[in-house]
Amino acid sequence: MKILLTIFIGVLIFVISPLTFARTTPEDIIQERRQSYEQKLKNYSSESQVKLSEFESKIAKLNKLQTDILNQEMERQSELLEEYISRNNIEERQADGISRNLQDPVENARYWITYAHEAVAYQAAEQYIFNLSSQANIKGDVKAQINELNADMNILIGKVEKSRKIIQGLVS
Amino acid sequence: MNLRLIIIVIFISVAAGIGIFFFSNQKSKPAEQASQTPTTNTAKKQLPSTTPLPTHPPINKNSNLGDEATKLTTPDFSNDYESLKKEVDGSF
Repeated sequence: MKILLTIFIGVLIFVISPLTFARTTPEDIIQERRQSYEQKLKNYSSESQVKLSEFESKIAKLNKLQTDILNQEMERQSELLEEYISRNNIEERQADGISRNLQDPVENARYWITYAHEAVAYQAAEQYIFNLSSQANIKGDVKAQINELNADMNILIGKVEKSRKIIQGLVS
Repeated sequence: MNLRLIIIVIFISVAAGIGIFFFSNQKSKPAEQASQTPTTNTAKKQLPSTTPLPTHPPINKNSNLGDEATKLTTPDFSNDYESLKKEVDGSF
């Protein structure tokens, strides 16, 4: 009886608890939001469903268009950094992914360019799913999603601009 | 309860947890692949954008890096959002 109880407690501590935290992935969160959206969508008119689908696609296209432009700039910034390093025969320190020396201007530029470039890639992969409240408020729900994209894009532009200022300061 | 028993219980629990974790990951893989599949319909109209894609000559040994860096500017996307919101007003 004692052994069984011990095993049971051990399973609770070492099996159930880690699994609770290990199973939730970003894909799970998106899937959950998608399911919630599609569940609410069933109660909307077919005309509203078509329009929501169109606007979801337009928001995704707007996100792609803007991230393509920002990605192009990040590639340009990287080209400038590479040419600067080449002209000055700079030997970059091998990054170990843990320590960094941001006092070094080239390493600092490399770090912020990489940071902004990764942020652009992350934004490009974002999926915007409407958070539907009611049929009567459909216009507000769509606009709220547009505003969310706008806000996310402004944050991203801030990162790109920071990286830009650093590379401008380095090469000028 | 002796130390040997505790070690055995921990070992069994961890082994069971690892097994359940990999098994549940194998089961959830089709669901993850499905979530990555786009489900939205393609819009019939092209989204108009007032922001053109910038074009630059390639950077080479003759490029003035300072000048090229100053040419980097942030496009203004505000018109894209305003026109999309106006479309929303006109659609619903």
